[in-house]
Amino acid sequence: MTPRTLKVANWLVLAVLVTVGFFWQGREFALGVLVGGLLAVVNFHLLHRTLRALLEGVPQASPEERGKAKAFFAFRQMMRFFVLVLLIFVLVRYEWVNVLGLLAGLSTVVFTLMLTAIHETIKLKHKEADPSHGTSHPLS
Amino acid sequence: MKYVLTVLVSLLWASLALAAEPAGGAAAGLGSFFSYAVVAAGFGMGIAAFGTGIGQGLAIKSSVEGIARNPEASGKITVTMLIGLAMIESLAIYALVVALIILYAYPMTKPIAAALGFKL
Repeated sequence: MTPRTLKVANWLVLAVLVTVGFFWQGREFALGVLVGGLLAVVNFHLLHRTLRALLEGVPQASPEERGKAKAFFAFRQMMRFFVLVLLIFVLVRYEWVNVLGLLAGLSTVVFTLMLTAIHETIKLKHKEADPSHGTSHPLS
Repeated sequence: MKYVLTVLVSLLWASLALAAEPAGGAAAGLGSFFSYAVVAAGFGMGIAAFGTGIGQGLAIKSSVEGIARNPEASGKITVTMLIGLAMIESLAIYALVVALIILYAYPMTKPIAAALGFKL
C-alpha cells in the first residue's frame, strides 16, 4: 500500500460519503461532510509531506542543518494543527455547517484506513491460501 | 497510586463545589448545567491531548528506532507511521469537535433551558 493509493482512496471515500449524505440527509448535511472531509484529507496530505521531508531529508543533511530542519518540522506541525483547530472552531462556533456532517466528514481518513486494512487482510488471506504462491509450510 | 488518589479526591471536591449551589431554583439549575458543560469540554480535551501526545510520541519513537536500525525499510516504516499518526490524530480532532459542540453548538441547550423555564 503506497501513500498515493491511500490519497486516491481518501478522495473516493469522500465522494461516496458526500453522495450518501446528500441522498440520506440533504444538502446541508452533505456540505458538512464535504467541508469536514476536505479538512481531513488536506490534513493527511500535509502530514505526509511533513513526515517525508523529515525522514528522508534530515538524515542526509549536515549537522547544522539537521537542527534547523527539526525545528522547522515542529513549527510546521504546530502551524498545521493550529490552522485546523482555528477552521474547526470557526465552523462550529458560527454553525456554518451541520456539525454531525462535519464529524462524518472528519472521519473520511479513518474510514479509508479501515477499508484499506480490511482489503489488505483479505489480500493476505488469499495469498496464504494460494498454493502456487509458495509458503514456508509444506503442502500436503 | 498516591497521585491518582489525590487527583480523584480533587475531582470529587470540584464536583461537590459545583453541585453545592444555593437553592436558586431554575437559574441555579441552568447555571450548573453550563458549568458542567464547560468542565466536561475542558477535561475531555485535556484527556484527549494527553492520550494523543503519548500515542504519537511512542509511534514516532518506534519508527525512528526502526529506521535507524534498518534504513532500507524507511519507506514502509514511514507509510505505516503515517497511517498510525493519522488514526491517533483523528481521535484528538474528534475530542476537539465534541468539546466545541458542547461549548457552542450543543443541540440540547434549548430543550434544557425550556424545561427549566428559560427562553434562549
